[in-house]
Amino acid sequence: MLFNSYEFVIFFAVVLALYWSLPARWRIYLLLAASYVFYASWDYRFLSLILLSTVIDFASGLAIHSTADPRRRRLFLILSMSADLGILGFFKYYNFFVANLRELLTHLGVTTHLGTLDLILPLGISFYTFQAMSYTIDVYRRAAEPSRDFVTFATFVAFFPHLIAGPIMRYEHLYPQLKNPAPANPLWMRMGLFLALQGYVKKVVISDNIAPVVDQVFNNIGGHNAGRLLEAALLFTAQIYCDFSGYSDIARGIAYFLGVELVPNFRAPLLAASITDFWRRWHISLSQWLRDYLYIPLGGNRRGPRRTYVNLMTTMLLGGLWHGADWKFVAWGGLHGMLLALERRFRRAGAIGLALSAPSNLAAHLAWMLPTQAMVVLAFVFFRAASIGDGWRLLAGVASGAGLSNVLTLRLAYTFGAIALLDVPLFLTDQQAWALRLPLPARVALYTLLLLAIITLSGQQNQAFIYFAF
Amino acid sequence: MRGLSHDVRLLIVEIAIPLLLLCMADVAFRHLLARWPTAPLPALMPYPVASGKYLAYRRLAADDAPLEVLLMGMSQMLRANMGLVRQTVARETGRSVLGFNFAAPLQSVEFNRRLLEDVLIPIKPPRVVVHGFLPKNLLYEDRPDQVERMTRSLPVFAMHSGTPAAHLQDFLFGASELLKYREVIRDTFVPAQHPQIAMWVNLGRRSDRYGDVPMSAPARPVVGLNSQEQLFVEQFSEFDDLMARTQLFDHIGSLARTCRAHGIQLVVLNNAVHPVALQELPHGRDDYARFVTALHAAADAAGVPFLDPAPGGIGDPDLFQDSVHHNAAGTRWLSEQIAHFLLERGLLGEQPTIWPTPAQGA
Repeated sequence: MLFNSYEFVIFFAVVLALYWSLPARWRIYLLLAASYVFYASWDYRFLSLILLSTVIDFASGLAIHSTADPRRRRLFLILSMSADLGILGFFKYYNFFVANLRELLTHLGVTTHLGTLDLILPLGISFYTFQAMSYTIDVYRRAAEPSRDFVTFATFVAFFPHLIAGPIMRYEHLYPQLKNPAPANPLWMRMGLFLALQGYVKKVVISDNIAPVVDQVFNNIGGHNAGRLLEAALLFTAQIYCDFSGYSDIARGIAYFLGVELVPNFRAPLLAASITDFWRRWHISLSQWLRDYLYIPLGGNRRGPRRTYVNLMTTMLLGGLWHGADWKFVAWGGLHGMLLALERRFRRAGAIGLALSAPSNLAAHLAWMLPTQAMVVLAFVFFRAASIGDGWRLLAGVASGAGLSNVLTLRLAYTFGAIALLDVPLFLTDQQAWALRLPLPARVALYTLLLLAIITLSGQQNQAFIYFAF
Repeated sequence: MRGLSHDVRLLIVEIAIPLLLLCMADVAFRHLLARWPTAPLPALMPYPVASGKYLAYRRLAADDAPLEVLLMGMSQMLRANMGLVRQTVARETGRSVLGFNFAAPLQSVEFNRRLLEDVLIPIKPPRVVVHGFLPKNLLYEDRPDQVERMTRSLPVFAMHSGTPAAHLQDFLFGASELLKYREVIRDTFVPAQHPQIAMWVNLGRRSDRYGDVPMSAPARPVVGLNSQEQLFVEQFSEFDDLMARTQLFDHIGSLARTCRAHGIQLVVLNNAVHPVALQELPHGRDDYARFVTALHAAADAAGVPFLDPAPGGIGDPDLFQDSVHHNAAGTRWLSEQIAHFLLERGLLGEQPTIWPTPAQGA
C-alpha cells in the first residue's frame, strides 16, 4: 500500500476517522492494528519478522534494566543486537557476503559450493531494525527507561507512517507520544496538511516524472552523449531527493493528523554549501543515528585528527552499506566520508576552511553551494548506476564533452525550479511548515496550486518509493 | 464556524477553499473541452484510438442490452464495422444485436487479453469475442512482462478491479475532467514519451457507440507494397526464427482460457490479406500458409472456432486499400462474413454455444 495510491487514501481516511472517534486509551490498539495491516498489505509473511524484532528488543530492554551487573547488561545488549543485526544481515547482506566470499576464494584458487539464496528483502527492515536497536542501546546507556507496555512498544517499532522509510525515530521522542496520546491539535493538522501536500508534489509530480528519463539513460549509458548523461545525473539527484524527502514529508504530515510529531528528515539539502552542511540536511535521522551510535562510540573527534578521519570514513562506509548490499553504495558512502574528512582537514587549516565548512553569509554560501552540489551529484552517480564501473562510464561520458551545450533542458529548469520553489523558503526560514507563515490568501493559492499539480501533473501511477529498496 | 478555535477555522478554510477552487477549475476545463473541437483525447491507452474506444465503451455500459459481440485485433480489424455487422444480422434475422469494435493499431493479443479481463469484462462483459489475426501479429506480440509493465502504467487497468480503491478511482475519473486528461496536461509541460499522432487522435475522438471509427479508404488499386510495407520485408526476413520463438500462439490459448473462464465464446479470425502481402514474407505463399496452419492449430488446440473468410487467407484484391487493410467494399465484405459466421454457428442470442474445451474432446 503506497502513500501515493488510492488504497492508502481509503485506508488513512478510515484510520483517521476511527482514531479520533475512539476513547484515548483505545487509540494505541488501533494504531498497532493499522500499522500491522499496512505492513501486511505488502507481504504478510514478514509480519513475523517485525514481531520477532519487537519481542527481542522489548525483552532485552527489560532484561538489561533488570540487572546492575555490567557484564550481564552487556551480554543482554550483545544478544539483542546480534539478533537484530542477524535478521537484517541475513535478509539484506547474506547473498552479498556469499557472492563476494566466493569470488575471493576463487581468486585464491579455492573452489567452494557456497550458494546464494532466493531472498526477498523485507520492506523497511533497515529502518525498523535501526530504530529498535537504538532503544536497547539507550536502555543500556541508561539514557532511557525500558518500556513495560508491549502494545505501545510494538507501535513504536511499527508506527505505519514512517515504518517503511523513516524518519528513524528515537524512543525518547516517539514512545511518550504514543503512550500518552495528545488531544487533536488543529495547528499540527494544518502543518500536516502542508507537509503532506508538499510531499505528494515532490513524489508524484517531480520524482515520478523524472524517473523514466533517468532510467532510460542509466540503463543505456553508452547510448547517450555527455549532455544527456549530465542531465540524467542532475535529474537523479533531484529524483532521489524528491522521492525520499517526499516520503518523509507525507509521513510527517499524516502523523501530525494522528497527533504524533515525527522528526524532520530533510532541510533543503540541495542548498547545502558543504558536505558537512549536506549531512545536516540530508536524511537527518540516519546521520544522527550514525553519529550517536557509531561515530561517537568509535571515538568521534576526540582521539586526534587521524582517528577522526578514520572514524568518519568508517561511519560513512557503513552508512553507505546500510543503503544496500552493493559495492556501489559503499563507494557512495566512501566518497562522502572522504569529502567530510577533507573538509575537516581544510577547516583546521584556517579561514578558507571555515567558509567551506560553514559559510557565514549568503554570498559565500552561494559560492560554496555549486562545488558542494557538484560533489553530491557526482557521488549520486555511483548510487544510481548499476555498478561502480557503470558510474565511471557515465562520468567518462560526461568528461568527453560531446553535446554538453544541450544540457540545459526545459526539464531541468522545471525540476530544479519546482524544488527551489519549495526549498528556498524552507532554507530561509528554517521552518518545515513555512507555508503557515504566508498570508491566508497566498497560502490558499499555494495549496490550490499544489493540489492542481498533484492531479494534473503526476507521473506514472503507483511508482514505489526509491528508499523502499533499502 | 462560531465556537471553533482559530486553528480549526483555518484548517477548514485551508482544506475547503482549495478543493472548491479545484472543482471550479475542473468545471472551467470541462467547458473549454466542450468548445474545443480538436481537443486532444485523454491518454488512457497506449494509442489514442483505443483511448477513444475506451471512453465509448464506458458509455456503452449504460445500455441495458447485453453486449453480444466484441471485435478485437490490430488495425486491420478497424475495418470490421460493427454497425454493418448489426445491419447484416438485423436484415437476416430481424434481431438487434449490441456489439463493439475494440480493435486498435498495434495491440498485441496478450495486451488484448489483459484489456478484456481487467477492463472490458468488468465494465460490460461480451458474449462473443472475435479476434482477428494476420502475420504482422508475429511482429507486434508482447511478452506478458511487457504487458504487465504497460498495464501498470495505465490507470484504467486498476480502475475496474472491484476493490474500494478501484471504485474511488473510477468515481473520481468519471467526475473529474482534469483527472481524465492528466497525462495530456502533463505532457504539455513535460516532453511526452509517446506523443499523440494526430490521425489516430482524430480517429479515437470519432469512435461511435459501437467502437467504429470512420476509415478513409482511397479507391485505388493496390499494385505492390507501399514504402511503409517495404519495411516489413526486412522485419520478416527471419520468418522461421519468428515462428519458432513467437509467443503469439500460446497467447491465443491464454486468451481462450480467459474467455472461457468468463463464459465468453472466442472466435479466431484469420484476416484475409491482399496477394501483395505475400511479398513481405521470405518464402511468400509457403510462409503465409505456415502461419495460417499454425493459427488454425492454435484455435483447435484452444477449442475455439476458426473463421477463415477468404480461401487460404488470400483475399479479393478489389477489397483492399493496401496489403492488409480493407477498403470500403472490403469493410462491408468482412463485416458480413463475421455476421454470417456468428449466425451460422448459433453464437448470437441468449445462449451462445460454448465450445467444448480441448480436454473435453474438441
